[in-house]
Amino acid sequence: MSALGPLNRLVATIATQLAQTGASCGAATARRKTHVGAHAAAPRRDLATLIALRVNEIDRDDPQRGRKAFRVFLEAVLLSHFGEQLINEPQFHQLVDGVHDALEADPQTHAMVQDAIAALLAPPIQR
Amino acid sequence: MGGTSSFVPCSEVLRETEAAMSARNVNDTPQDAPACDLDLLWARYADGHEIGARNALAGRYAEFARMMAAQAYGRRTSQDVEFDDYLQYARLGLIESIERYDPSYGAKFETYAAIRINGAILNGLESASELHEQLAASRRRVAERTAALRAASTAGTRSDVFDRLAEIAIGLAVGFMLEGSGMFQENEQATVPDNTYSSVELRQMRRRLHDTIAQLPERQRHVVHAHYVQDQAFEEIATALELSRGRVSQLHKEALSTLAARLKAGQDVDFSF
Repeated sequence: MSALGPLNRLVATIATQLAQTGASCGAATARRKTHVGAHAAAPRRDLATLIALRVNEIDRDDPQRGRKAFRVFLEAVLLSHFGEQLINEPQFHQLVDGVHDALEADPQTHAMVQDAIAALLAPPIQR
Repeated sequence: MGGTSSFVPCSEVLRETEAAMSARNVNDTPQDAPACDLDLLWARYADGHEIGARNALAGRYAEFARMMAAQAYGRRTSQDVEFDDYLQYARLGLIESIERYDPSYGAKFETYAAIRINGAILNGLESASELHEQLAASRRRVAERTAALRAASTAGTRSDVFDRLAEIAIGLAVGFMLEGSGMFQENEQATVPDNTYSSVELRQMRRRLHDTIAQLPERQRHVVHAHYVQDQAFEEIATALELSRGRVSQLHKEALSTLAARLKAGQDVDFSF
């Protein structure tokens, strides 16, 4: 069903972004601006820009950091499947909430989500 | 509760009534007020069904409604509904009683109103309990779907947790699209108007979803329709189709796969930086 294409690159992207948010505040802000600016000029990279923005919004000390990172993953997966134009749809974000809640409500998928979060928060490796 | 305050929204009625009720001392009862005062109010209300007179009467009988709510709350058999909800139902019953009471029949207002207020409380509780049941049933169906999609993803060759989660998430998303926003209905004019922003893309996606459902093999279409429109669990569908529950789960998964494939965006997204 999935045929998601470069899913590994998506995961690596989020993990790298998460790791970068741990850098010094000034450096992180500068890098953030560089990323956003660079990708704003590339229309095919809207989703990558969104991921960068979303991940950069997650505070290093946020106790929900892993959960929020997984939410970014979910959002990116669904946007890549159903089309990036849904980014601005209020109903799309309700849909992501529903999917996220359903995955967390089932004990076995919840365990998978925890594994995914651990992988996202782990120091990035060259993929 | 039927025709409570037929032309005025309940929230507005309650707001007005609560204002009238709070203007009075909570210890006041109709008996504290001079009889002629109450008679005058009833006469004023009977004369032109003036809202101000109705609210003043509601204020006079506020404690009566509270007492009825407290009695019903004392007899409760479940902890799902709070006293404030009982009180709200009782107040709506009180308003309805004032609007329908006809003194010419000779019955005392409290006698007439007690039956209506009790009825309003029971109707309110029934709706609340139906809502709770619907929410619980919806959660059960989503849990059933998640488990079925998870089992199907395990059965495949995929081992990477992200691949499996992505596959399950897409299946769940298609399910939510099917059950939400009247997406199953061909004629969008027939649905309740949605005041939220809705793009052309979403409407086109609904159309594609609907068209694809029509093209599904008969059994898959039956499973999708029974589960998402008729809210049937896989077990019930299995009994109706004389199939095993596992087979129904498989048909469901196949249908979602087809629908997800048809809804897939045209081009792969480049995630790389």
